[in-house]
Amino acid sequence: MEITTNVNEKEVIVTLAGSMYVEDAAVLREKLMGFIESGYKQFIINLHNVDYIDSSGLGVLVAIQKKVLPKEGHVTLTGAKGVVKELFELTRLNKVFTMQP
Amino acid sequence: MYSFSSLAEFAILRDSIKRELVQTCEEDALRLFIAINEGVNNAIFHGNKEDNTKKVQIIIERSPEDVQIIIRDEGDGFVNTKKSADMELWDENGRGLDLIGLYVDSCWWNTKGNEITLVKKINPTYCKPFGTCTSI
Repeated sequence: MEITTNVNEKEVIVTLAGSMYVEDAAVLREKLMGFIESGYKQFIINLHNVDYIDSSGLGVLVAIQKKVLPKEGHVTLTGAKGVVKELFELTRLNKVFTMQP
Repeated sequence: MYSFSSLAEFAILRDSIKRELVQTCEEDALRLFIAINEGVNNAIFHGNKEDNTKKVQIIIERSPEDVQIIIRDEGDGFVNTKKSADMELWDENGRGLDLIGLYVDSCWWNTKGNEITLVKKINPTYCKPFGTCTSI
C-alpha cells in the first residue's frame, strides 16, 4: 500500500492507494500517531484508490478518530467506493467518521 | 492447499489465493478473500501467536453448490464467545470474525478451535460451471 501525507497549517491530508493489510495498518498507525503527537488533530484520508481494507486497517482509523475527538479534532474519509465503502457500511463505521464522496 | 508460517509468507501468497478464487467464482472472489484474510490473521496472531515454527493451512474446495474453505492453525484453539450483535462500534479490534460472518453463508470451528470452515454458496447464474474450475 502507498501512504502519502501532505500537511498544511491545520490538517493532515493522507492519500492511500492499494490494499491495506495488517502490515500496512501498522505503518499507517505509526505515521498518523506521529502527526497527533506533533499536535495535528484534523485528518482527511482519501480512500479513492483503496481497493481493500481489512479489519486491522478499520481499527487503526477508529483509533485515530478516538485520539483526536477529545482534542476537538476529526477524521474525514473521502472517496470510499466499492467493497471499501461496503465495509464501512456493514460495520456501521460510516457512523463513526464523516464520509464524503 | 496453501501452507505458510508467517504473515510475510502469507503476503506472498495473497495474489495466488485471489487468482484461485476468481477462477472458482469471480463474482464472490473478493468477498471470499475478505473472509479468508480475516481468518488467516486470526490464525497467525491468535492461533499460532506469531510462532513461526507453526503452520497455517488454507484448503479451498469447490463443489457444484458451494465453495468450502478450511483455515487451520497449530495453536491451542480458540473459543468464540462473541456474537455478531456484540460488534462494538468504537472497538479498535475484534471486527475480523464479524467480517467473516458477513461475507460467508456459514462458518464453524472444529472441537479444538484451531480450524475454521467457511462456506459460501455458489450462484449458478454468474459462476462458471463446476467442470471449468481449477483443481487444487
